[in-house]
Amino acid sequence: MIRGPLRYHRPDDLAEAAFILASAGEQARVLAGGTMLIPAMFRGEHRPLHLVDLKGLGLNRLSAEDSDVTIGAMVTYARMTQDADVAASMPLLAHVSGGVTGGRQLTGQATFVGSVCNNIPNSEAPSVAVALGATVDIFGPAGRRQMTAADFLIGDGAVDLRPGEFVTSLSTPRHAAAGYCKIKNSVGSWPITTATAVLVTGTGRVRVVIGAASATPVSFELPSIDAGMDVLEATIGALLGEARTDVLAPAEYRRAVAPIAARRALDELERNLGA
Amino acid sequence: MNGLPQPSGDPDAPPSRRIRLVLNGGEADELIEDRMLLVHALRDRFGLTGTHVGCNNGDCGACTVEIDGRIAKSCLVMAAAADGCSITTIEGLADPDGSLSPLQEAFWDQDAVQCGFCLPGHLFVARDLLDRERDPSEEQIRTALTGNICRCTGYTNIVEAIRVAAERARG
Repeated sequence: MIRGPLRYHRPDDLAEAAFILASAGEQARVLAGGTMLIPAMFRGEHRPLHLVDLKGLGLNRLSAEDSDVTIGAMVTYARMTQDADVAASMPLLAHVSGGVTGGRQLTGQATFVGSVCNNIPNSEAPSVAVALGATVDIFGPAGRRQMTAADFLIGDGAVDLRPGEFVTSLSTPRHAAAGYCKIKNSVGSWPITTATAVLVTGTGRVRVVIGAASATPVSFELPSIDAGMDVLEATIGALLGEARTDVLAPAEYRRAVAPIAARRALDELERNLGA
Repeated sequence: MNGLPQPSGDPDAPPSRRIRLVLNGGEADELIEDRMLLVHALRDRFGLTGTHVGCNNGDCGACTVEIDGRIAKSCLVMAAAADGCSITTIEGLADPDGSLSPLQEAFWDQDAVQCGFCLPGHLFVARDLLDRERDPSEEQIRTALTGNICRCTGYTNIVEAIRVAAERARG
């Protein structure tokens, strides 16, 4: 039982959802998979009076077009792991989705887009979305708009949504090869630090994004894939001023392992490019 | 099925609604509060107490049910969101006459249960695995069990029971 007089809404079109969200203002939360939000409400960390379920809006599309992959707000990790088109055109998304723990009960319900929208620092989807150069598709009372995931993620648990707005999908350009490294205590634990490495299209440069180490992902570019540890330590050390301390690890640990995670992600990118 | 006291008409009462389910093959409906989790509705409104309240955090799996053919942790589902769904609970795994399913028989034979609190999760993920894999490896079985916690630490016998169930199903 959730404490408080919560009211559940299941709108069946986008405009109705935006209207309810706009009317309820800060007293409303959006429900997609619910695997992050519902336990947080149970613990009393969120106390909304209105819950707007997206399940009636048809936001289930998962498509790999010529140049883009579009992930609807209700697409689960299980679908992203099983979809042959995603596996072929976006192996990083399939790999990260396949690494989510909690069993098939959880991966069949939790959504990649929901994880981006919750922007919990320990989660993986926000930093992967930034690394891929993803665009967030937003619907609200004023219609549709888009913004980059990097701009959308503004702080610990905070995203750049205006009153009445919600995310309908996320689109990313294809990346045939990527490298990914996740450092964590055990199979079932949240990540302590992640690193994603991708080629920046048309430049020969490499983008590296460090996740889970700070409130929002830290992104930087390197001129080549073979950056030494000294370069990675200096670059990440300068960018990661406010490393996080939580029950999993102190800030010093995160600062120490982030360059190592980055190097491992670069190594994996190199292997995948050669493959 | 337990009934709920009629709404008092109190404007300060928590929002509520009647939800309709296909529950273990039969139609059922009950009045629930919008703020109820599915696990609590199943236990306290529909009277099916085999679905257990464990961690309330999606970690332990003791509240696992099947919703429209997909296994889910019912502490992560709002009861109102399940309106119109077909749900199988642990009570629906046995035959209608109460005899155990072959998977449950295998758990019984291998002593894969101590206190039994975690069984909804372990039995549903085992059934889910065996629906996909006729001859799962031990690694596949152990991977399938992640997301479920047995605090009697009986995993060895649970793994063996699933292997035995698969073997018997293959004949």
